[in-house]
Amino acid sequence: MSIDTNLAGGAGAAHWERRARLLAAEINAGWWLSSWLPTALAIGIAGTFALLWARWQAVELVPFAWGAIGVALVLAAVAAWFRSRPRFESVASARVLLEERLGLHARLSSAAAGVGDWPGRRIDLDGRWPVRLRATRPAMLLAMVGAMLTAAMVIPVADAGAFRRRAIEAPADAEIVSKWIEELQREKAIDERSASDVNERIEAILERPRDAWYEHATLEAAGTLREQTAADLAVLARNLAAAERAAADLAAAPSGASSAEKHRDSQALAAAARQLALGGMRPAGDAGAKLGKEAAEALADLSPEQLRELAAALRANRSKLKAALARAANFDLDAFGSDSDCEGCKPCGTCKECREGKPCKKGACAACSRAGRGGISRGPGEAPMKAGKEEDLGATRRELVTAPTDVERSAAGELLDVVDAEHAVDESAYAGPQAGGSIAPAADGGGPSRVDNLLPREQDAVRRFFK
Amino acid sequence: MNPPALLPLDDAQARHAAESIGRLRRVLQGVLFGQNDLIDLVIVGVLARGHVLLEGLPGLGKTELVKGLARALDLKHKRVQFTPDLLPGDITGNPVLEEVDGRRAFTFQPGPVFANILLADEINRASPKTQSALLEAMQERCVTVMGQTHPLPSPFLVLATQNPIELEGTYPLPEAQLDRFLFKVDVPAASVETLERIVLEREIGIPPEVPCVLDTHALTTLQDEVRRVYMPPPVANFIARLVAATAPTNPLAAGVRYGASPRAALALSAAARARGLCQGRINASYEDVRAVALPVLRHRLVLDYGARLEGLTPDGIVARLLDAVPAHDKPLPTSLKAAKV
Repeated sequence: MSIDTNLAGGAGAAHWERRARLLAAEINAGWWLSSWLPTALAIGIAGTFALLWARWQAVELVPFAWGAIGVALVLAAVAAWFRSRPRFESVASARVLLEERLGLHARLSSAAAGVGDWPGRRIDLDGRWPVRLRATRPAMLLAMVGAMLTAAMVIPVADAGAFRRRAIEAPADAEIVSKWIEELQREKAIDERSASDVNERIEAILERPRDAWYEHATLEAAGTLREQTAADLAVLARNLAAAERAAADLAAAPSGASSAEKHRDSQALAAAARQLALGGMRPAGDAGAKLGKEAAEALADLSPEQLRELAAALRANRSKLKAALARAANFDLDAFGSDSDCEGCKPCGTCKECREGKPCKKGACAACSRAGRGGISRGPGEAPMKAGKEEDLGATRRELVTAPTDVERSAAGELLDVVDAEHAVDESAYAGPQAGGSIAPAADGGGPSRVDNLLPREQDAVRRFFK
Repeated sequence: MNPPALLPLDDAQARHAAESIGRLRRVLQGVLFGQNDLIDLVIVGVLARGHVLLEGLPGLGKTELVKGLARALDLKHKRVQFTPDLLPGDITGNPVLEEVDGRRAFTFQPGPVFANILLADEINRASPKTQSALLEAMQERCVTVMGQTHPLPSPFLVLATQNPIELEGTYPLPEAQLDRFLFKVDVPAASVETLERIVLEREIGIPPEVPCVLDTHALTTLQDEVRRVYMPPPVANFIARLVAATAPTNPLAAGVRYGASPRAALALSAAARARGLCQGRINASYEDVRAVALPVLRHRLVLDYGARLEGLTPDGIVARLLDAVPAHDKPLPTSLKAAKV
């Protein structure tokens, strides 16, 4: 046996060296791949969970998860290269494999050592290659990684934000009151102390455990707060209107007016000022300050100009209050009342309500003294299934079952019905054979029924009924 | 590492040597029919300056091969039939008391070992003392008698035979002495076609005509050229791993009590070079090593009793090692598979 010694000098060297380098690179790639693939599989598994987690947490995290997977794969590839490097095939070693597998009789190694010439290119060996790729396992692993990552992107995952959004929210009434106060503060319609009082009460409600936010007591407290706040705001508006009217009347009083009239007007203004000062909500700004500074008795001594300014300030405050509450959601402006509703309350200034800052019943106008101004909005509405007094459900009424009834699927009561009435015993009914001794006498009214007179299906129905 | 003083052959020299060897081979194929592998191994042994131990039944043509080889190479050959009463002096030669110029003195009478080719028939029938005398001559290529050293002619080649069936009255060669043979070759029985050709072309008592194709000088030149055959480091590494794999500690060599020695590695190297030259190549190759591994290693492996009881043979173990020890010593990654080309 002899090998082809068709030498081609440098061409042969270049040819065989190129093939040796290619073979070395292929083997080294194989080592790198075998080192990288297990890590890639692990990263694929971790990446799958990371993608699922990212999609569950927030969709915005998905690109970051992909980035992390990519970086991990690249780092693993670099680490695999370093790890597999000691096993890398040198060109000389690849040359050995090449010459051994292709039957070149160690001519490549000899030529590389400078002994003899490089063998020429052999056409019959061009298509031959010493190693064959076993791609099944790497391809399966890569496909598995790809499938896992794809599945992680395709599998429907619930958005964790939805869970967060479904998290327990503060009672609606507390939220609504908070919004009201916010609007009022923005408009500077109430003073800071009033606002902080309400906010403290809201916080007191919210300090309770979240699980208890929707307990009856909490809801009741929030509802009461809302009602109370709405009522306070209505009182504030009414007092502002009363004070404004009293101030305007006092300013408009003619110089020749009797001292009794002036005294009455000044008393009304003083009562309104007192009510404003003692109310749950106090006005902010000039009106509150002016009314707070002046003693009730001193209001009578104000000049007409001062009284007009006071009236203007009160009017402005009332406008702000109304504007803020108009913007606030869930506030019933109808209950608040309009400017035209009040026909001019004249607080007496002496009664208990006036002293406590509550609306004066004696001096209330016709509009303000009408019933139904309590502002109570809770209670039965128009919706079906409303809670309320239990009505007669008609259980005692007799109804005929006209529709064809599926006995198998019916309850005993549907068939037998329940009737409050006297037993209608048919005395003339056939009572069974009497001569031979009856074992199933007809039931008397009120007596126990004998189930052995019934068909088995009827016996079952009776049994179920009494069970 | 190849000897630095020796220049490697060039392709023309290798081709010329291969042509000469080819002529010798053709002549020997005309002497011994149907034993081409045996002839090739004997030629390789001659070129590698090694001795060959032939094991086979009588009448297979071993003596004819030696005679034909001697005639083809124009070499002096001797044949010694070893018997239990053969003495060392009968091989090496004896001092004889002679009267020369009126004085009596011992004169050395060379024995049959003083030949270029010695056929030692049934070497295992001689006593160990006689065997060792011959084996010392084989190794040292000289004979020392009464303090006087007598070099053997060059080239010197021993072709020894041993009969595998006549165990009674024999003295099996110890391992250390077997190690001195380059090859141990099993001579197979002739096939029907070979026998038919023998019947047609040969007659008892009439030796075949053997032309001389190479003289002593040419043979020596060929032997020198064998030394110049390049041994590539990967092939040397393959030889080293193959010999190391015969160590009893190696799982591949299970059943081996004593493995091959470094001399076996040298023998493999020399035989591989010689075979490479026979093929007209300037270097030894993995294929050469594989081709000569069996005759080089089989008599150097000593099996333990368990292996022998199990029917294991050195041939089987060497074959197993040749399968298990690749020329390319690095494993391939799992994503690649060695292709059969």
